Amino acid sequence: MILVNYIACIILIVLGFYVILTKKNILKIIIGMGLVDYGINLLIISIGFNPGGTAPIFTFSELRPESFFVDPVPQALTLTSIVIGACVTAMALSLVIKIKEKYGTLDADKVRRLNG
Amino acid sequence: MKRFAIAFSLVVFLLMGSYAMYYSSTLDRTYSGTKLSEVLKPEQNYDLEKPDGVANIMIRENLKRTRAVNAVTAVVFDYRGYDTLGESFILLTAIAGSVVILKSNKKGSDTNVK
Amino acid sequence: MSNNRKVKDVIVKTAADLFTPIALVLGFYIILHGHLSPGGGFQGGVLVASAVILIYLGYGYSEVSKRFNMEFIKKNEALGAILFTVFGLAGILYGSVFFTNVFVGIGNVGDLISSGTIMFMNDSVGYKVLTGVGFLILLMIGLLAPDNEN
Repeated sequence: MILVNYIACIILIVLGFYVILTKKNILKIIIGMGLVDYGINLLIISIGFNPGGTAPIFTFSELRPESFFVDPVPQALTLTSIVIGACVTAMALSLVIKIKEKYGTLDADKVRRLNG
Repeated sequence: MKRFAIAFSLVVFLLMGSYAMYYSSTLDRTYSGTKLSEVLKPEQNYDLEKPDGVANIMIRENLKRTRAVNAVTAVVFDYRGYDTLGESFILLTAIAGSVVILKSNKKGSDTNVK
Repeated sequence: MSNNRKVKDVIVKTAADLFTPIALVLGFYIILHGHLSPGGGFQGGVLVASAVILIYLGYGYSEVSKRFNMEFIKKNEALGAILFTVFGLAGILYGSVFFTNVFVGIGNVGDLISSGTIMFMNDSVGYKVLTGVGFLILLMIGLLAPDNEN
């Protein structure tokens, strides 16, 4: 429960939304989508933290009888979320390649025609 | 007018989010870490009345039930295996979707994927 | 001007020669020791797939298209997904529910071969991520090929 991590998370999410709403280049919009994903992953990991705890791995040669662990369940959920973010970015970039071949430009105001 | 609406809504979202983050940092912990000397005790002394969360029971029974030294891998593959199954379907779908999108139908096609 | 280009090619090629075996060995170590140390299938698979990028940076597209066969990699990715489900079905053969850990008592705590179906599922997920991400990289690099190939 660290306060600095939580404030950094909300700043990352708001910056990501600002980039999605106001930029005109399509590649910059994809970067903004990635920023929102990373902010949410940081929030999920920061929830399960005990001050003074170690990693939840039972290596018996380095632990002492008064050491305690951090929460392992949010770490398992964050692994899945990172893979989902990478897959969405891969599919969005392949769509950008086809847009550039067909329209010739990467401006979000000019790729609005539905036929052509 | 449009820029004023975007700026105003983002500032309101930032202020409400900051107050929510500050309030949630003063709540109790979800998993009060039990000390290592209590984890290795036999299982008649489990205190199932306190609302400590499922992670407490998972750490206590880890060495006896799964014999894996790494607790995070045991949670990903044994206690919550259905989530990993769904995620491997997502990987397969993303790669299949990319192959379908990037297929060009010119005479001498550029990509060498049949 | 062309002297600068030759010096830059030699530097990049030497760095690619140095880092490719390190990436391969470290990635396979992290996949195999998934239940003993931090890491696992997903993390190690991405490390091994980064060897494709290093070879492309150092040697160009002609070397990459000669050494990697795209049809073979595409079929092996589906094989990895099927292996993951087969080891989940092993619980039904032994008379229990779907994802049960059935052969737990193979080795002691801390050995390389221990903890039943966790180790096999870890290896099959690592193999799937390895071939999947490598195929995605080869697909996108193939669009940048110079036009005097055909």
